[in-house]
Formats: sequence, structure tokens, C-alpha cells
Amino acid sequence: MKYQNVLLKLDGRIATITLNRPEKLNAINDGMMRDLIKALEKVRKDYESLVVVIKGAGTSFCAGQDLSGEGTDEVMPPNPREKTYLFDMYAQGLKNQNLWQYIFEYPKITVAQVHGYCLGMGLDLAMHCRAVICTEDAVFGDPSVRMGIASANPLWTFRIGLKKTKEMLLTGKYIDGVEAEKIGLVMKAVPADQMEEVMAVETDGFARSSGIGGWDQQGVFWSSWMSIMQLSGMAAARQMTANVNVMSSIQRPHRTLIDRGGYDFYQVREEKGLKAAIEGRDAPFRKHFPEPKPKARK
Amino acid sequence: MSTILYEKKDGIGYITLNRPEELNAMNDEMLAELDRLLPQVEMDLDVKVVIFRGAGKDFCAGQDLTGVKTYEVLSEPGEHMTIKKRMEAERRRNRRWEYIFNLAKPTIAQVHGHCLGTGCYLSMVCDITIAAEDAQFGDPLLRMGLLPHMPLWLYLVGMKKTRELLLTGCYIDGIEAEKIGLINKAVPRDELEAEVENMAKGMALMHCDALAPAKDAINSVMEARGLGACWRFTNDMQLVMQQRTMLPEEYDFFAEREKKGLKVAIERRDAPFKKFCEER
Repeated sequence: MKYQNVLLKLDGRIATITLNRPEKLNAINDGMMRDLIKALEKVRKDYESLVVVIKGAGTSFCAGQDLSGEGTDEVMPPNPREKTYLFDMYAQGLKNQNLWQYIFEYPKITVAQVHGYCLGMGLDLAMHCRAVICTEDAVFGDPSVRMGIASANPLWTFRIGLKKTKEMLLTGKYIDGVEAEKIGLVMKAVPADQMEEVMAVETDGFARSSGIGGWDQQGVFWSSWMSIMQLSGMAAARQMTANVNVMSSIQRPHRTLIDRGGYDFYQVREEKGLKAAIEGRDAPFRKHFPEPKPKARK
Repeated sequence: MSTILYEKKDGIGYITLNRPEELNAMNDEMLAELDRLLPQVEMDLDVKVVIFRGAGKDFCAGQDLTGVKTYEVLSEPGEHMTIKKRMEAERRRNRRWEYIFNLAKPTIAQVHGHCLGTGCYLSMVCDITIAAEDAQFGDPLLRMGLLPHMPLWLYLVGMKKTRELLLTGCYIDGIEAEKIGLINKAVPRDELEAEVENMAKGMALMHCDALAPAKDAINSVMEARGLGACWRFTNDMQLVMQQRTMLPEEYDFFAEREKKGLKVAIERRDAPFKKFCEER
């Protein structure tokens, strides 16, 4: 099968899915989400592979959801200026939650290998993997609140606790890999030049543990953990964050308090283009929350 | 207003607990003023972020233990102990914590000095807590035969640390509090105000309609994780605890206060634990 937006490599026990839109910093659009799920399905049925590594081509893991507004009807809430129907939006919100739950429950060990930017939906993807290993200079954050959108990812408080979750999501701030390891967002942060070596060791370890009883037994083992998550409120949390996410994204500019010191992302995008809109969104915050930058590499 | 000071500036509302001689201990009057003030602050569109802080040397030493006009914060043995009356008070108390927790705008606790008992609870129900490195956090209620009743302990610091802190009543400093997840960040005392100001101003760059749902999405997950039910459980356990009979060899805080005064009673409450807590 051919994939347009991801690369799939099956190599014995370790499968690798590479997000492959490097010129767009691997931003997730409808096509990429579909390809990702298709590739995961393919690996699931490949009885050789025990571990799936998800990584990004080019300079970054994934800069988040594609904000261009083209080919993003499924992964992004609709433009608030267009006519939208509530029911469609709720249906879409829940459908997306099902996709995330699919990745979360995936029966083989998923490892996100993160370098460069890992923002918004890219971070959602990393957080839904069982382990995240990143470079020390990787940059994590979810700036969606700066566009007036509430995060639809219910895993935050489970991963890093309530206080840190609020600090991240109510400011939209960015943190580097070292900080991410400290607060428990990732499993470990390593120097960039040691990444391949560390990944080889870690995936080998994961594959060996998966070898005990085969991935089939590992899948069952994981489901038992998943049932604990469900009992801890995961299912309801998914529904509720989906609802609030929809609620935040159906806001029309003329029906909000955006004129009292808010930023109209869609308006700026329309007038000045995507790049200027993203820059304008983040610029005022740099004074308050210094932005780490990934080191430039060849 | 006297026990609470309020001012607003540049989109930020500053709520200052103002009983500095009493270490900003909470009494009925302070809570009544808070109850009157908060709905106004919540509705005020010129206030995007709310900061809680304490006047003088402390954030808040907890509930006022004098027994004078402290019906809302302290269940004394004696006259008002009918279940219905106490239930009313306990429900009011929980409604207040839940209300601050779910206030439709971000809240920041700026903590220095003592942050104990209900003072600590106030810092916990705020969205963000930034504290001085030498601030003191703790919940010594159990030493007086009262039940620590804040379910957020478990969610913030986990089961093991909750038990360690609540069953010993020992205090921890800001640095330790950051390490275990009770607060966001500990900073040197002289940088505290600037740090909080910076965070608040950063948040105030966003409009209310972005901040409110973003906060609600996170709180709704906590609700799904059972926080709503926990408020009620701790509430009811508190009621049960208040009805128990003291054992003869137990330290009777209230009798001691009657005989020797408040200061001695608190000292005698903490003395047996002092060495143990220091050596921890």
C-alpha cells in the first residue's frame, strides 16, 4: 500500500512510521491522520513486529494540526466564520476521540521519538504513545488556548498532574525536553547525537519484553491497564473534553469577548497569511514565557 | 471590607487576605467577605486573572482556632454539633472550595510564609500556585482530632505522599512542595511577586472566552476522575469524625485551649511531633 504522508518501514521486530511532510513540519492534516491509522493497522496485523516507533522526517517531530485550513476538515474544527452545524461538530469531535483512543489502546508498544517541535496535536500524538523519548532541545507545548480553543486531549492531568497541566494549557507556553522529562511528560530526554543509539537500546528492550508471550499476550496485558484507565474516568474524560473543545471552537468572534484583549487568529490568517498569523499569535507571550528553540542541525 | 482587601489593575484582580496579626487565619467574617466578593470578581470582564495572596508575613495559617466567631471553619465540641447544623456548614464549605476551583477565570495563589490547613486548601483549589522557597505547607488537622478534608491532596501529590503528610501533619517547604507536585514553582522570596505578576500578565493576554473553556476542559477531566464524588465523601467523613468520642489518653486540643489559652494549646499539639518531623 502506498502512503502519501507517512513512511512505513517493517524491519523484523521494530516497525517505524515516519510522519513525512517535512516542509510543513509534519503538520497533521486529514490525509496524514488517515495514513497514520492505516499504517498502524498494517503493523498491527504484521505478526513479526512487536514495537512501533513513530517519528518525524526533517527538522521536527510534528508542529501540530495543520492550520492552513485546507484539507483539514476532519482534524480541525471548522473556521468560525463558516456555517457550521452543532451535530456535525460533536460527531466529528467524538470520531476524533475514537481515533486517539485507538492509538492509546494499540496492542503493541508505541514509542514516540521526538526531536524539534512537538506541539498541539503533535504532542497529543506523542502523549497517546506508551513511551516518549525526546532530544533535550525538543520543544513541547499546546498553544491552542491562544487561538481560543480548549484542548481536546484528556491525558494531560494523568500525565503531568493538575497544577502543571493548568500552567501549560492556560498559558500555551513551550518547554524543552529537559523540563518535559522533569515534569513527567516524556520518559527520557537525551542529547541529540545519542538519540539513535538510545532508541536502538530502548526499542530492543521493549521488543524483548514484548517477546514474553508474544505481542498477543502483551496486547491483553495492556488492555487490563486500559480498563484501569477507564475506571479512573478516561471514557467520561474523553467525552467531556470533546464537548468543551467543541464548545470553544463554535465561538463566533462577534459573540465572544475577543475584542477585550484577544487575538483573532482566523482574521489575521485571512489578511496576512498563515505564517504571520502564527507569529502574531505567539509573539506577545515570549516576554512572559521565554520560548526554547530547537538547535539547528543539518 | 476589612479582612479581605481587593484591588484590580491591568486586567488582574488582587485578593489579599488581611488579618496579618493572626497570620491571615480564616474566620467567619473573612469567609463571608470572600463569599460576597468572588461572584463580583467572576463577572467582572475587566478582570481576566485572579491572584490570591496574604498580607504581612504569611499567606494563611489555616482556620482561626480561637473559637471566637469561627463556626464556619471549626467544628467545636459542644452546642452546635447536631448533624443537620454541621452538615449545612460542611456543605457550605465544600461549595466554596468547588466554586473557587471552578471559577470561570484562572486563579493564582501567591504563597509565602505559612500555608497550612485551609490556607493550604485555598492554594490547592487555585489553578496555579507559585510559592517562596521557604514557604511552609502542611495540614496538621489530624493532630487536633479533626479530619483533613481536601480531596485534591490525592490528585496533586498521589496516595503515598498524601498519607505521609496528612497522617504525620509534618510541614514541607516550597522546594519540596514543587518536587511532589503540590505547587507549580518555588522561587526565592524576593522574586515571588514578580514571578506571579509575570504569569498573570501572560495569561491576561488572552480573552476571557479562551481562558474559561480551556480551564473548564481540564476541570471536566478532574470531574470525570471522580473529584465531584470525592468532595461529598470527604464531606460526609468529616461529619462522622465530628461525632466521635475522644479517647481518654488522646490530646484534647479544645480542653487545653480552655485551660491554658490558644498559644499553649497549639504548642502542645505540635511538640511531640517536632523531633520526628525534623528528622524526616
